Amino acid sequence: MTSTLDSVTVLQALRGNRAERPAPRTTDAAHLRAALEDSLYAIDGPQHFFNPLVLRTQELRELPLDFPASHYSLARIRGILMHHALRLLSVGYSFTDPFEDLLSAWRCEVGESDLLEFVDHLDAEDRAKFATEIAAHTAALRHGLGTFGSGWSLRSTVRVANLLCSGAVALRDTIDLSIDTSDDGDCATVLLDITTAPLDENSEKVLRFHALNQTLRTGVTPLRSAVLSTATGEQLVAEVDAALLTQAVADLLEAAERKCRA
Amino acid sequence: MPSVTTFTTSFISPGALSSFIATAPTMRSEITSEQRSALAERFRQVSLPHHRRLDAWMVEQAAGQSSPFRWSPTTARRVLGNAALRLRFTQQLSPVVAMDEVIVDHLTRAATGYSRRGSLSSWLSELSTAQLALVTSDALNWSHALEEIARSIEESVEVADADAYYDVATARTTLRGRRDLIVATESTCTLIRVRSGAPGRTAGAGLRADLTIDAFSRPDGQVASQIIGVWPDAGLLLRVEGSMADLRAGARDLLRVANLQHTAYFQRALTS
Repeated sequence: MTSTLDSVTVLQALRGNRAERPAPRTTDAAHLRAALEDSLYAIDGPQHFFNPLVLRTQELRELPLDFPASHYSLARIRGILMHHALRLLSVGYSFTDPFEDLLSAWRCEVGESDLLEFVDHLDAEDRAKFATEIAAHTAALRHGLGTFGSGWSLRSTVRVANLLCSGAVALRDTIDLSIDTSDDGDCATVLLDITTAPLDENSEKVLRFHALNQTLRTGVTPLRSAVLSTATGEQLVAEVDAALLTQAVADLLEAAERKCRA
Repeated sequence: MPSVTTFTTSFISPGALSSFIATAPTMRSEITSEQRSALAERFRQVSLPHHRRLDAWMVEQAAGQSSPFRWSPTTARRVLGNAALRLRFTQQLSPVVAMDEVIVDHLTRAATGYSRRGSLSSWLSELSTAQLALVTSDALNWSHALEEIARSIEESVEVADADAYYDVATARTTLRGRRDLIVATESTCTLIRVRSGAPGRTAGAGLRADLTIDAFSRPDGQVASQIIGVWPDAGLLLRVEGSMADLRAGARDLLRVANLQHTAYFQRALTS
């Protein structure tokens, strides 16, 4: 796993050297599914038939986040707006006023929401501060990402809902950006997650969780998985191999055990 | 003994969809004009004073109340994404150029007064550039997912021109069957429907309803060999074969929804 700050853009790091790409691996998914189902059944048993045990990225975190309510709302809104920024950048949109552009895009998607109302009720000073913060994160995102190749197939906000143990366990995930850069059948799907917080140990777990979910969902192991922080510009890029996927299974089982105990 | 529908499921993996298509039943059923008349008669018995439209989603939800329709990037993505992929396949355009063409076409229709209020064209014309970019992004996601599925099939695939519609004679009822891709070989025809999220317990009944509506909408009454539901988010495939028993079950599900609506309407009328 490599963690870098500004040396190369995250897209360059994800793309890597085309000549060195391995052939697509199509056998990992079955092994992983079997390993996960055996262990999850041992942890949880069949009691969740009608209310499945749902595991998301937030369940991977050992300690829950503890922030005041207002901070939590603003952090969530910042995260939502940055995801929208990535979606817009993926279709080549150039921002004039990032905060207003992103807010209007978000409004178009959800119509009415409590969080949108929260933004609408910010006083002028708080709103201006928040708008500046969003502009800074958007600039960091644009700078950290780099340019998309014209022939790449980009999918933003890829939702994943892998069902295990006959639906008794559901792995839910949202991969911020999935890029397919293949042109001659090589292994070329790379995954990107963006966060508005600085990178920490949890970022590695998130990166592995995405790789595991993508493997289970498509039956093909992705090439690389990365996390980019728009707070620090730092990026974490990992090659997806058997060791990384095994560690992802271990992270998940640990989270499932914690959730069942709670 | 009544026949039961056989649902076949599989995880998505390279070759899984092609293998479902290769093993499609070659015997194809046909709907007769007596069966059409019988269906119309049953729908007339549970008709409403106003026109209604029934689809597979209503079958899956057992006619439960859903929030009123409004255009959003999510509701627009299938229409735009399918149109863009169709254009890409016929004119060999890049995904982004094909999507731009589709959106420009909608905007032109709105600007020249050829769109009615509340239509997709009219909604798109009211959006800001940032909002339009979000719509484009969602529609491109859909188009890429659909293309990925189409390219994983060994046989030749076409993007469906439109959904299947069938007006039930004098019953003020239109049935709408969704279909995204069609794979036709010499002896078989497979319909493919792409769905978001994960399949629920009624997903099979929904697919069966789509298959039934598709058969009724064809003038020759030919039933497709099978319908395959693809849930890319969950990595799952679900197949329903186009036997006459499945078709009858599909028609019964649609009638059940019509009946539920009929009962609810007259109960409301009695209490008010």
